[in-house]
Amino acid sequence: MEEVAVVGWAQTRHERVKRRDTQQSMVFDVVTRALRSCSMTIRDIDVVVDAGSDYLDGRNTSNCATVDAMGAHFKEESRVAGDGLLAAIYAYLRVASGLFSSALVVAYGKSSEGSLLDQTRAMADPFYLRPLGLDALSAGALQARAYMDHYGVAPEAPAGVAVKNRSAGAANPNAQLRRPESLADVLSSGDLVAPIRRKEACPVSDGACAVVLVDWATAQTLGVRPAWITGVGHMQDAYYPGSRELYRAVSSRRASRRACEMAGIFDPFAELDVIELTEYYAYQELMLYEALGFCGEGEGAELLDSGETAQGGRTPVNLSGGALCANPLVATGLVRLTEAAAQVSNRAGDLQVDGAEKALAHATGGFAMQSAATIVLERKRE
Amino acid sequence: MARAAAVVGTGQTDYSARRQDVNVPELVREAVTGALEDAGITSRDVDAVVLGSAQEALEGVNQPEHWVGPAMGVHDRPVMRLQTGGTAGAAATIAAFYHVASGLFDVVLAVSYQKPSDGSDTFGMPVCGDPLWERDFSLGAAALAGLQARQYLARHEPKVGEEHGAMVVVKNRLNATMNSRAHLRHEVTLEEVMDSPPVATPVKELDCCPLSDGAAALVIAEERRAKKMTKRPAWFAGIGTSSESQYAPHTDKAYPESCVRAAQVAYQMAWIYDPVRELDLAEVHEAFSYQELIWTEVLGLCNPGEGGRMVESGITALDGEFPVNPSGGLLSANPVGASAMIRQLEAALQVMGKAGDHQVPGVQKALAHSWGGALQFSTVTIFAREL
Repeated sequence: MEEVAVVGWAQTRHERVKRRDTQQSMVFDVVTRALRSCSMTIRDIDVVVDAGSDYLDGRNTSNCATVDAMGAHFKEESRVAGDGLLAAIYAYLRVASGLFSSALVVAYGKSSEGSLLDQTRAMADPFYLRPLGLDALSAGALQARAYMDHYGVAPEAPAGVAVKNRSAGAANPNAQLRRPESLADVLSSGDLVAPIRRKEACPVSDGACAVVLVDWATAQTLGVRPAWITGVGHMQDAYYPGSRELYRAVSSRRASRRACEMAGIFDPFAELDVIELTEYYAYQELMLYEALGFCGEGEGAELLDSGETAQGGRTPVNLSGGALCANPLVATGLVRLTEAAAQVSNRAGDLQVDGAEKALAHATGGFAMQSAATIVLERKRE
Repeated sequence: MARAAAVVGTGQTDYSARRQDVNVPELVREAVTGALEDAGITSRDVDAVVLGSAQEALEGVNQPEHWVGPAMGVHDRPVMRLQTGGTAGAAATIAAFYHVASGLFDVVLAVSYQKPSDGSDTFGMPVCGDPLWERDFSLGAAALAGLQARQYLARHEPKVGEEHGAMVVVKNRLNATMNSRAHLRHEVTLEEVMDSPPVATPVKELDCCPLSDGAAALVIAEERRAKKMTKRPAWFAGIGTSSESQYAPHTDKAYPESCVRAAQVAYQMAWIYDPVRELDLAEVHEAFSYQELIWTEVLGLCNPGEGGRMVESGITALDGEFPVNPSGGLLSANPVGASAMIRQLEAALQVMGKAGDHQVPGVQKALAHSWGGALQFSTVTIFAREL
């Protein structure tokens, strides 16, 4: 198996509405900058793997319209339906096979062009769930309730995640929401769908992200510090919320365990230096602490309160501000990868954690985190 | 270097206009169960699943992998879905190949399906167009094929004419009578095709594929496991894909360069220098009859303009020197997102000697081709009997 590294990346500044941009212009922008960031040109790329959503784009097989913008004209190209982090895993598999020496991963979402919640409502099967009107937000609220009831988590606990991440996001130039929020602000922001409060939910964002992966030999020629991919994992849980342990993020647990075991990491919280999670809603970060084995079951809130996951803590989680500060859907998980890569290659600027050597990026999909993908990155390969 | 991989089991549903007795996950499960049984394994032996289906609008469910994935009876496994329009099924197989080739997974299930009867027939296609300056034209697949066929005929007339398209239909529908899975299993005559009403001139009603409900699945395994599972696996010998821009002015719909490039890559990987001599047959993605003529040329099986001669002289017939679409092709069954995988599945079946009544004798190497998008995506997969 070839060794594979993340060497270049770029993301847009995520905004509620990117009026001056089309899907194509966002894609072209991030692809151009990602290649420049590692001194490569589009000619150096062997395969393009993209992520997109037909529903979000409002057109079928929407990569038809982005082939040129991605630079995939007359190249090997394929589209993963799902988060960009899953596309990154596919690109990793291609390069790891030894048949390709470089890959470009592209993900974009322009949620402002439609109604995001209506689109998530269409994720419901036509027979059992759709008549209920379930959407991503109400599924999240059911999960939050199940989680809090099962472990007796205080209703105020998730608000702490929002305070932490919004505070971190204030320092991230690409974040959409860059104003810190106090605990009182979050708690008094009103229920979106109880128990999820308005300021405990991700915003709706337009944005894009591109990442360049290369094999070992190519990485030696680029003159940039690579972030080596040492573990990948993706997993899917059961579909119907009623047939799941809704209070556990099962797929995230299994996906991260696969990635960490592959990377030889057995105590993730102790061994990882930086963690970027996809938390569409604040409660999810607490559940993910537990799923990833950072603390015991039901102890997520205590870990948060200890400050160990905050900036300056033992293992900071979502220094970028996470999905709560910018949520360019489809690209959200791939953005986590760029943030993690920036940390382990010492290119994170003001957000840099001193001596960060190992990082984990995570994405979820489906109702109430039904599916998950994780990638572990390391500064150097022993 | 990449690990060797092979198809060791196949499963498919019967294809028909409307499967009212099953929903999408049930349909998919039929194919999956068939593939697992064929490979002699259970769902526990599967390390990962790759799903392929085309436009979600055909069934009206967003992110269907979350609905369909867990219903396959393969629990707690990584699931990834590929959506590349017409090539989705082939893209899934190819992704499954890279799952194995990377060394990370040993046994991978590639699954594809479509159930267009759940949605509106043509709604799924024109919505591919740009919302601002294309959608008003409602350019569906047939209209696109009409433009392509016109460009092709204009270039090569009188060497190729409308009757050559009709000959493809007659041949493939005859082949389908020997394929128990096919959707359209009755023969048609040249006159019937020529007299059928125009859809997008010169494409006539009988030049068009049907829309079918159906699913297909392949079990793909690395070398050691593959040899254990079956005496006669179908080895992946060559894989090539290429995409091209929808708008670039120099793209040639009657001779798409993405297909040329995909074939070159696959031939190189499989050490094939003279495809028509070194391969034994091809399954090509002829959603419309003329496309079979075009693909035989673009894949290098004959010279440009000679596609008509290939079918007229009987070379591409089931008992000809180089059979094309022995299964009956898309003209006899077209579950959109699965059609590209079915080409691979049929090519693999031929190599494994398990194609039944439409088996071509002594197949050593077989090619599967597919196209997708607005004639933008091309895939070529070559299976070989010997590793």
